[in-house]
Amino acid sequence: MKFNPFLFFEKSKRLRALLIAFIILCFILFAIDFFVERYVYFEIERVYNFYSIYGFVMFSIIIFGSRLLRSLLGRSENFYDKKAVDSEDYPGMKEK
Amino acid sequence: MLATLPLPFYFLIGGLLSIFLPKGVIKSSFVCLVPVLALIALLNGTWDQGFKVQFLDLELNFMRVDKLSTVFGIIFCIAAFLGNVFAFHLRESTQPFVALIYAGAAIGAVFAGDLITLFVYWELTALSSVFLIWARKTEGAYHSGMRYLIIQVLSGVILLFGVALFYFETGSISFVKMQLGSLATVLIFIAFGIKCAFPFMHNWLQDSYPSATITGTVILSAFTTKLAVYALARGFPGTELLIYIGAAMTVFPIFFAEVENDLRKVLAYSLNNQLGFMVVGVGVGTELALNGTTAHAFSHILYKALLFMSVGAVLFRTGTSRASELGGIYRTMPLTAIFCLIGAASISAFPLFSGFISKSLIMSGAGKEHYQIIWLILVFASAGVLSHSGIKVPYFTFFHHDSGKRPSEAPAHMLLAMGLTAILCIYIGIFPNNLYALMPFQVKYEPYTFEHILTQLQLLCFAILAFYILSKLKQLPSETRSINLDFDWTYRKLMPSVVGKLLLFLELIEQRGLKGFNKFLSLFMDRIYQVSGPEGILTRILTSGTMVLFIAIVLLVVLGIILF
Amino acid sequence: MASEIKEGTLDLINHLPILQVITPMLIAPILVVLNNKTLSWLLSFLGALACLFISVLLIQTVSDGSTLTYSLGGWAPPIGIEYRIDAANSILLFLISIISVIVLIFSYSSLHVEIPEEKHTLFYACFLLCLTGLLGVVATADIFNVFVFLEISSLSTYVLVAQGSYLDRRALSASFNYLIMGTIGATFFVIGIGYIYMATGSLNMMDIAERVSELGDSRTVQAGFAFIVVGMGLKLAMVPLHVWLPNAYTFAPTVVTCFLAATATKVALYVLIRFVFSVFNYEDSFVNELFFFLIMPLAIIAMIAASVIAIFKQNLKKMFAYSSLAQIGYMLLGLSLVSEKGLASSLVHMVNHGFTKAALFMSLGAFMLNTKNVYINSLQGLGRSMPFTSAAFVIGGLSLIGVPGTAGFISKWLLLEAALGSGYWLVAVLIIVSSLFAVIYIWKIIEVLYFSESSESYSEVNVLTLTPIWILSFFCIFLGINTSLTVEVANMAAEILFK
Repeated sequence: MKFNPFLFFEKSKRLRALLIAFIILCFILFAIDFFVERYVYFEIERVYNFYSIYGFVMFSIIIFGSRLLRSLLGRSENFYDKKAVDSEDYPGMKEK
Repeated sequence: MLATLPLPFYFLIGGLLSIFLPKGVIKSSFVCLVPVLALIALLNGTWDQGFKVQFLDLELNFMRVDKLSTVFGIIFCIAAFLGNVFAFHLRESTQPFVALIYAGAAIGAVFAGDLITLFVYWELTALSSVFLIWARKTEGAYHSGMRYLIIQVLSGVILLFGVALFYFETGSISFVKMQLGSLATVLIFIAFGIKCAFPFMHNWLQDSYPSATITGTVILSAFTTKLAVYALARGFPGTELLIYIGAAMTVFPIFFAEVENDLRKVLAYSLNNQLGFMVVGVGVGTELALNGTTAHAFSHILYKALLFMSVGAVLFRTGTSRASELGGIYRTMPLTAIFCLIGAASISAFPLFSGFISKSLIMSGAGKEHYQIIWLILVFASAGVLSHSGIKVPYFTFFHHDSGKRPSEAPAHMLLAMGLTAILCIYIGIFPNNLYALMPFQVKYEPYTFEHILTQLQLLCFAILAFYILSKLKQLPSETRSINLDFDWTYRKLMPSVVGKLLLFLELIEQRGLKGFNKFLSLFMDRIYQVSGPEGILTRILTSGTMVLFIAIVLLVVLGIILF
Repeated sequence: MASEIKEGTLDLINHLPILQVITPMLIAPILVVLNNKTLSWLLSFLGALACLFISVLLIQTVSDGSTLTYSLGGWAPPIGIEYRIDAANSILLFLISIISVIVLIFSYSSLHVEIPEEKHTLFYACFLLCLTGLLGVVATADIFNVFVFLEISSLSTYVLVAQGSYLDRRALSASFNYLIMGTIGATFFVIGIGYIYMATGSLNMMDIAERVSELGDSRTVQAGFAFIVVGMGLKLAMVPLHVWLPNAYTFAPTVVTCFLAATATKVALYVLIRFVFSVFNYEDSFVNELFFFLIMPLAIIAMIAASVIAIFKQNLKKMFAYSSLAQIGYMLLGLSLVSEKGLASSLVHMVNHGFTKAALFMSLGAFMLNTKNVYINSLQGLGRSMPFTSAAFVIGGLSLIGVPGTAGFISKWLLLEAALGSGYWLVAVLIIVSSLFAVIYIWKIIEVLYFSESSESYSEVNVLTLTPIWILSFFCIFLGINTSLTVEVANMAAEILFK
């Protein structure tokens, strides 16, 4: 492989460093909200760290909501037909 | 002469010529060249007077060139070029031909100055694009394509009827801003809505795009739905109903995308969600919001194509696009992975990427008009975009569990296509004013303010944080080979099953001894068969006497009507 | 009355109306005397070409809204027989002559498959007589003369249909049925003429029109009208008087089917139009009631039912015969709206459908040269082995459906416009529904042609066979883009007929 930045992070130490960097970033973003007076369209935006909280909560809602959706509507791939397009493999392809 | 030739003709003529070229490098180069020529023609052409043609007593205009149509024309040319570069490896006649015709039809519709021309190209997009699905040449794809074709043609028929009514009400066929209110405009609105994948009319999109060929999906993703967005922006700007429809469109696909296993279908749901943003923009209808819709369509076509290309490249190399069978591919397809991440960052609207500078126009548009709930929904949907397109697609394809697959890197022309698209995504993100200059209205907007960057990063980073924590807690939906029911259930399952049940029910009735009723029914069915079946009553050679009886009856009726 | 009657300054122009009719009639006996296969083809072809030339001259002369009259034997009307050419019939004269030319080109290479060589001379003679009859019906302004020419064309048509018996004996019974029905129709028609003559004492259309309006409410005239409507209803295959048509079209030789489908029913419809507008008064309540209560419902039934039946047919000639019934429904519908727009749409559809259906039947004929039959299953994969014929077929099919850019779209659009203009919304919806049925049966064939594998391989037919097919396909597209020939002349004609 000539060029592959991802291999650099394969070592768990480096991956952990990346993770820690990310968490520090989150922390900074959270803290910075103290010092910034934001221009707002709506009152609700004034809530301290509105965007962080909204992002975190909504993402969780999406995950749990979609799991609920699957439990309601999930079916096997052959549900419509054995030869339905949902279950077929892409034609003419052999795994390489 | 060449300067006034309507733009779609470049594609249509080019498409016809492509048939006669030898399959392979020559044909592939040619189909890449055509959109470039068209783009040059568009940027240098002069169509101030339009390109008017007299048809019956109607005046058609093939080239209504204003800022709105020009932007869409430009991006469609670019998308056709990139799509054809991506498809450079094809060694067949159908797909390159169809791709050009399809692109030409979409461009023709965008420049149509009247509703008749719009209708013609509207149907041509349907008729041409279906071959990109059928080119997969499997039974499943055939049926899926058929469903797609029926729905698309239905949209065209509704449009035609709306146009005819509109013509009678107003005496005009020019394609300008309309008001919902009469049956005519409602029909036109519904026709646009079908193509734009409004809720409950959306399933053709998720059904057909993943069923197309690898290259076909890339091309499909650019045109049909954005054409519908253009038509809405042209015909129904400021229609409040669109705001709520658009908001619904941004929300519901998120959940489906999150649990969908086929990554191309995930992207199709995500496409639907992005369309929602544009529709909201049209509904808000202020100059800012319409600029937002246009800009978002522009950047959306690019990053959506990029995502479809990268997943397509993986499908091309591994034979699957299912999340449950992929993972760990970054080891051998790093470039594709990088391009996919660029696409993901663009769609998630990270600062410095194209989605950031276009989506915020729509959000601000909605905010300035004080649609609070809608605005909250859009912010929610932004987090949703991140969840499926921003994280799910690259994460499950290239990282996550190692699937053991070690495919080789995507072929050079695919890398080239993805590279060019990625560069455009970043370029637009960094220099938004170049895109804003193309917009239909002069609006001053500065996306890169400190607080805007901050709030966007807060939203995205904390959403990612939630993802990280939930994945550590093993709360993410698992990837298994499965599907989820959507509205297509009604016509793929309910309708066939109701008919089947009905037949079973009849059998039951027979078993219970209601033979008389059944006999009546079967007689009735026989009757229909007799009239229209191969051995129909009309096929049989009737005795002359019977025929004369007919004549006598008709004469009697005619005399009766006339004389009494 | 026409605004201006042309006194021909040029002598030839004066004689064109009769030359048009008489040319093929004079050639027909010569053929029989010469009794040479190739020569008779050549002479018929030249004769038809002459007719086409004349009809183009005529259409140019009258396209400004004027009327050209010709008194046969120098006897002035109303006593003598008068020929009147105006926009309405010039367009039909053109249709009939051009179709006959194209069909004759096709027959040169295809006829020997269907008819034994020694019969060719007689076949062409019959064909020319039929042509004479059709042209005469359209050109004349004398109602008894209409009957005479109608019988000339009908009698020769029965013979032509029966020629299919060399391939399929059922052609004989089809022809016989057609004969019975046609003769009853002709009888009714002549009875109707009798009533009118009884009431007015005249046979000249213009003359009758004046006298009828003077007569006021006459039961005799009304009964005459009833008989004429039923008689023509038989000839133009108005549902339910259509029983003869599917079998006649199916079992007749391809050349004949093409010619009949494109012209014969249209001529009968033209006669009906001429009678309604030029002889009777379209504003009379009995005419209007008849159109509203009978013709329009029957037209709609034809549009829908015949299209549905066509979907189920395996024999493609029969499928398109039923589709013709549906198309006749469109034309009748346009007429039954009793509006200028409706009438114009009817006239345009006559021409457009003439070219479309001829193109379809002719490409079926070309398929048949290879496959020997036209059951849908025998066309499998022909899209690849006969690409040019198939492409022409597809163009014809698209025009039949009414896809924009083809001739069919123009007439359906005009009809839709006319129906909505008269306030019949439901009718407009039904027009679209019926077009969707057409999509289904055309698609069925396209699917077989292009999407299924062929068991046998055939080669494309020769250029001489392809030429007429492509001329027709060209017209299907040309008339969809350039509407000056059809729509403008038809609007003019409708204006004249409505006065």
